[in-house]
Amino acid sequence: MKKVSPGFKVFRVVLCVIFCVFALLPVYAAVIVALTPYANMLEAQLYPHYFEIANFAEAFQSIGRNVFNSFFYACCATLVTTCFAVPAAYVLAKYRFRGRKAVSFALMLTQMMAGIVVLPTLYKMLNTLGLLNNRVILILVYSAFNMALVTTILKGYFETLPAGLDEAAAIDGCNYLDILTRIILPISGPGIAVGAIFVFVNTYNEFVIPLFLLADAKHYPLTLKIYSMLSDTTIRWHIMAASSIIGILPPVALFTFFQKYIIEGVTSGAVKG
Amino acid sequence: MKKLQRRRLIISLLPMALLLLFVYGYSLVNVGTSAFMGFTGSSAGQFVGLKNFELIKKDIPDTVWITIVWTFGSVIPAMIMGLALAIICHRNFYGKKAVVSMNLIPYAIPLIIVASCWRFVYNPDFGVLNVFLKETGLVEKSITFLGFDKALGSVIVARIWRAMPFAFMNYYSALTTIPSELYEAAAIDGASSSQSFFHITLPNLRSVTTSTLLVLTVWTFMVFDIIFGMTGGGPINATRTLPMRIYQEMFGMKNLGTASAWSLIAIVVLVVITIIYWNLIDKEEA
Repeated sequence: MKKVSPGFKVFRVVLCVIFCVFALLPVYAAVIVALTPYANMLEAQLYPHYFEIANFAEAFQSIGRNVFNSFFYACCATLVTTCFAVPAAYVLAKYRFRGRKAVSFALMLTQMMAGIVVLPTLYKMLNTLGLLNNRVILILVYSAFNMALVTTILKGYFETLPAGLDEAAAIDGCNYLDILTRIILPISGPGIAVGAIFVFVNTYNEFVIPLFLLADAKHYPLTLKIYSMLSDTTIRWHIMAASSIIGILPPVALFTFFQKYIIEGVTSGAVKG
Repeated sequence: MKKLQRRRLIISLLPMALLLLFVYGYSLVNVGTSAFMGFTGSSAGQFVGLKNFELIKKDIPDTVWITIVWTFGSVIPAMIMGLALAIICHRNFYGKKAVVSMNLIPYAIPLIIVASCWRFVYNPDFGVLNVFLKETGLVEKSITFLGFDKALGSVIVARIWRAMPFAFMNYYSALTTIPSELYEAAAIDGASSSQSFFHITLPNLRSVTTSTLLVLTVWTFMVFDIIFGMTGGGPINATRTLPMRIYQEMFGMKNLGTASAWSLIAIVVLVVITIIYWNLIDKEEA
């Protein structure tokens, strides 16, 4: 590798600083507001002048329930999506059958369909069936929106597994369920983990689906709660900022911790931008 | 064996297929029919032909223009920035890991919180950007970033912020797949760094550029949360992209017919881009 010239080094440092400032700017702006007492809200601060930790305690009191809801929905959706996607991805990866391409294309189409396009008519259907505001339905819809993503990631992973594993197992007397749960699952940890992280974070971050499907404020996930704070007539800026900071911690922690997997998942071509 | 395989295929694919049909199948078909049905007044429940499209016709040019500006105004800068950062991070240097981690943060944050955080940046009273501009003497009075003439630009910056990490990750891993022998051979032949950049790096990034461009275009064009949380489509119509129109017709006008007409336009665009993307991937795999 060629040696880096000093000029380039300076240029690199400057560019890195600009990128990092840009990346952290909105979070930094929220941190300043979150640390300010409400009475001093209109004061111009370039760096935090106050250190009102009580804002976070107050924020957590008002959003605690919603954080729990978000985690609950995210865990359930992750579980449901993985259970549906593992067998589907397995046959798509390992079997050659008529209609295989059509299935893959249909999957990709669902992936490209944004929620806002299908949600009005889905809302109408669920309204007719009396299934709005139903958390089981909500979790199923979350899962459907993540199905293509996980199936594509898992399919890519299964394709790297050696061929003939299942034949060998079948000869040893395993039935299909045994093959999936005893042979394939134990060696598919990394693939399943990548998919699961994405479903979890996507569901935790999802806003449009619950906006259409939930009416009852006690079922609101965090994203919807933050929006309702944002649309209050008098916005309690300090609490909203503190809630936002609390809200971004779980997904940021997950993404930072599993960075390698995230980059892998993104470049598998399955993930929305 | 054939029969066994068919049974396996069915039990493997059926649960997924049923769920997707339940969520997408009915809704998509219904968009197609609702777009040609009446939902208000005397025409409720009747076939109305192209009337819904006539109702939205006057808003189409404006909405399409705002949507195009919003989409490409954010996708192209985000991709250029992502590429720049990826090229920097391709070589090792002290602190690289921290730079990468920090620049991935925007990608993890829920879009509605992205909106709320950018409102803290832009706020005319205490927003950190206005405070900075005033304290450095660049401006005297606060800029109303979310006012009529600046709102679109301001939401676009928020979208660039969010989309950049995605482009970065794609370029970052694509760069690692370019064999280093190519650069070594070029260096032996006396090629300068800029020559190897234009003749080796860029051509090798062509396919990742196309696929990133397509995916980001689809997702930016359909982004709802950022605009909804920052401006709600306003002031007046300044940031009313196609998804905002769908929402407004659905819950503001309570007219599923015109909402579906907008959705149908969106679906046509999405399907066309999906087909392009599909052919691209198919070609790469073959």
